[in-house]
Amino acid sequence: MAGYEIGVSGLRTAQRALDIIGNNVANAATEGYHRQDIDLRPADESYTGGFLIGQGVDFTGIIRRINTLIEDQILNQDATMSSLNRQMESLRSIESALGELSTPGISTAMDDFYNALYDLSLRPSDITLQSSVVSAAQTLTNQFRNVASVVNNLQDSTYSEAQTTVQEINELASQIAKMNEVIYSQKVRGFDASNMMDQRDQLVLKLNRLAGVNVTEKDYGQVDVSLSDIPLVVSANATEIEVNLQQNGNYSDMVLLISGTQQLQGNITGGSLGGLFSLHNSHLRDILDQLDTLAQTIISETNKLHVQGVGSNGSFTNLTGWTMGQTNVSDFVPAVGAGTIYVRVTAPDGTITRTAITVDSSSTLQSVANDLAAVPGLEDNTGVHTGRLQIVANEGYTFDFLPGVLASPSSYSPSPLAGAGAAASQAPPTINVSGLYTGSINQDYTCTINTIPSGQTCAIGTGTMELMVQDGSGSTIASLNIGEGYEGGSEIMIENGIKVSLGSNGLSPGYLNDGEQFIINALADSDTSGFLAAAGINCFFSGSDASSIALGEDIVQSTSRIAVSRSVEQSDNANIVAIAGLGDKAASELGGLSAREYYVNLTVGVGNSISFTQLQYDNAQGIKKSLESQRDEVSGVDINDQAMQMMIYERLYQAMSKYLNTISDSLEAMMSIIS
Amino acid sequence: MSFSLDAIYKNTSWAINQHSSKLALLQEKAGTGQEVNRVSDNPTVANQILGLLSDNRSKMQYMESLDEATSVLELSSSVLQSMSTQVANARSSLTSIMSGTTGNQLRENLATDLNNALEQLVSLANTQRLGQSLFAGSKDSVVPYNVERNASGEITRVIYQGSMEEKKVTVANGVEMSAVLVGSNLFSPDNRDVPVFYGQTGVQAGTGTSTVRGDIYLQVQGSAGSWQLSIDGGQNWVNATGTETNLPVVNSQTGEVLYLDVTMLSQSGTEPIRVTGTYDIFNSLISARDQLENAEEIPEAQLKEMLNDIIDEMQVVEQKLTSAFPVVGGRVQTLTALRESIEEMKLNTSDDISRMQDADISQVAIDLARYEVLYQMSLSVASKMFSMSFLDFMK
Repeated sequence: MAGYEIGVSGLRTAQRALDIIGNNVANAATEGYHRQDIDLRPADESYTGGFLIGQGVDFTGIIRRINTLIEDQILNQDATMSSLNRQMESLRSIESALGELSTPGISTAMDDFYNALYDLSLRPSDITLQSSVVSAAQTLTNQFRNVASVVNNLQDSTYSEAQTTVQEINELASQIAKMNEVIYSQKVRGFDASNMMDQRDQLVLKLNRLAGVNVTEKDYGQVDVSLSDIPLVVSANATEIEVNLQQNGNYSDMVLLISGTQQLQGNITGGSLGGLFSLHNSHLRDILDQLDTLAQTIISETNKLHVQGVGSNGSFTNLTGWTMGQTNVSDFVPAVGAGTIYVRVTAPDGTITRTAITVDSSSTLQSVANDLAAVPGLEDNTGVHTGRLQIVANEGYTFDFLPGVLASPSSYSPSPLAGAGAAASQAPPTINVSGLYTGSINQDYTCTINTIPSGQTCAIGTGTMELMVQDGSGSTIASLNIGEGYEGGSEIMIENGIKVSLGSNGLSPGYLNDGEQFIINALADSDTSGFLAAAGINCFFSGSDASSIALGEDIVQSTSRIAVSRSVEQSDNANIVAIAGLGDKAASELGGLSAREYYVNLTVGVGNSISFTQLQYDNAQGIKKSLESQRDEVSGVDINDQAMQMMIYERLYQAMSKYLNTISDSLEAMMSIIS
Repeated sequence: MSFSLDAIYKNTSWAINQHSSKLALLQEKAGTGQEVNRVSDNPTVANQILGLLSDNRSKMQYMESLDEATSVLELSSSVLQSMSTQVANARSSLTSIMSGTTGNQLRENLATDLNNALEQLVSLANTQRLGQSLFAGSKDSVVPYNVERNASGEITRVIYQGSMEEKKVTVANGVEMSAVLVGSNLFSPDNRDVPVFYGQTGVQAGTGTSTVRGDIYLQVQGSAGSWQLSIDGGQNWVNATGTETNLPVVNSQTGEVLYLDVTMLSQSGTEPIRVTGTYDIFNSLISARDQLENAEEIPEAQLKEMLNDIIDEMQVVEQKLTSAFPVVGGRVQTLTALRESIEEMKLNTSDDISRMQDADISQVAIDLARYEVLYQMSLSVASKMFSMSFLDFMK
């Protein structure tokens, strides 16, 4: 009855083929579906009537059309694209927050701030211009805080998104493991599991988009999936993972752990989780770091100048610092080094004294406060109150930290100068020092009287008398005539903007003796330790980074506290000009760039990152598209092709039916002969 | 080569996405008119644009500073012109009165006129603009000239209390310029000469460099071997034996010192002394007014000589004022030229920014049309691909 068997095998094969074609067509639009083809072979021959005759067709199985090499490459590109796409989303958010070109950003705010300072230098006591500076400074600080807030929020959302992503990864890993188990059981029993494998592979694809995994194929259609060093899925078993934060210096690193362990895993680079790791631990941190560095530099450099100056209201009666978290100056931020603070106190009678206070690594907020409280004129109320340094002048006194020179020499030799005798008409001259010291170091100028012949006593403007001036290194920098030809009281330039005048004193024309000396103490920096800026005394900005930068409380309350002057005459605009110049001044903290340049670099850096990431994304997309085309050739369902095959198998079915009819008719005819 | 539905769908989807993105970008360019709307559009160009934008803002600020400084200097120039006119008028009046017969009434009237001119000069020297004194140097928040008056309210002394430093402002990158001038330098000649003695006491100038300025009256009393001398109305008497060649006599009020050679001192009395080259616009008028009033009762011959000398001093003062015009004018010219230069640079910078940032609208329009066609073609081809099927030919 071989004819029946042949016919039945043909019918069965055609039926199965049509089933497979139906399945293919039904899944033509299914994402991740791999075309299935029927695998046929001629059935074994049987020896009939001395001849070997074929016994029809054997259905050997269903072929799942898949090229694993292409599939692996697609997975890689897919994971890369997910990672890059996630990075781009955040970087674009930052670019929008920075807002340069399209909307005014920090760059514009910085320019406006420094320009407002230059404007104020034109009329330092103009309240409108002072208000403009305050307004521009507030805009700048708001911009910094806004951008820092965006970056910080992105950091936070990156972490929470990573946690959600890890939950999804765990869920997918668990599903893949279950699918592995089912596929295995099907395959072991010899059943086709192509559709299940496609379903499982879709889960792997999703997982890959989330984390960029490595997939290893095993026997019986199972796959093992690993993420970095973690064996996420092994056959039917899944390992749960979790994401956590770990302190790394001033920052928190996002780390990946196997749940229930403290075992840190390697870097995750692929998939959206890789993108989140890259954003959190690298991109966002770098941007925040640069923003913080810029804000810190602007704060510290501005304050360093501001603490030394005075506003249009002149010297202070009280100043209050910030609440200090630390008591040891060595722990202060910004860093405080060993140095000296020079405080100038003006008594009610106009007498000015300058006192030096030493700060070193063993100093504390309290010890410096104690030293300040020991300065005559500051004794009554100066101290540390609720963690804040308060410097309060006694009734009628004022104080400041102006550098430069005092109106009188700091010391005389002999002290006092001898003059020509004890009578009022024989007194030594009045010596006035003036000018804005433009030198860059603190130094003492020693002025020695030289007469010719030596040993003379001369009145100012008489005889042959010179003032020999030596700088801090002992080099003679000038010999100035103060004898005949010198008009007493007129100013003569020493160096670096310092001028001295020697004139009559009461009833005396002013007598000097050969060899007498006086010393002029010139300060370029009245706080070489940086203590005042760190403690928040007379600061323009408060805060320590981009998130906390703000305008000093005192400045907000009174715009006249903007320290415009730095000469002891308190009439100049030198301090505000110096602060305004900071915008273009190169700073070592900023890698030798100015604040403006550094910020432009930061902005362009973000733009470059986006541009580069976009390029990488486009490349990956192009490669993926090409790979998908290749995959489609192997695994795609061509409706026309399937329709033609359907016709073939339909014809096969019809033919085999006809064949069976023929066999049946033949047998029936034969049976009728017998009967 | 077979084409699956999925491939057709993906190709179409990809093409539509690509064209949509392009169209969105072009729409943005057309909307903003800018080729570079964000830094990531073209980081290299954006870097240049950001730098140029910052430059432009600085230039704007420089131009504002230049305008401010120019306004101050132009006003200063105008005030100096007025002061010069006042001094010239005063000198002219004094010259005309000296050339004819002068009665007391005429002298008193002229003294009154000079006093009024002096008041106006002080007022002009203290001119302020937006609360800023024009001639106070860096101490521009204070009124530079303070006056002392006698019992009858006349100005007896004008004291400069401004700064001797000019206030510098930044008017361009690395360029500083002073707009607020130092009055003391503008109004006071500084070519001190040896004091001239008009009296008969016999005192002469010592070898020391005196610090007295303008007119002073030396009072001498005593007799040979025991003289007393004073230049402050007798508040501080300095003893002399008549052998001193360089005797310092100090004004206890002002601290000014007059070095005298008293070896020829022969009689007591009041000795008018004048230090030429030390007159400023104020004390020259004060001297002229006081001499016209002649409270010291100086003999007519001496007085005429002194008035003639003060006319010469006023001329020196006037010349000093006149010499300030080119200084101020020169600065205004420099500032104006600098402003023009910066304005031109700003325009060039704006051009550069525009060239780099602005979109080529015609190109954008062409590109829009091109991608619109491509977009439509993608849809059309997809539609065709989906509609053609072997199934249509099956029965």
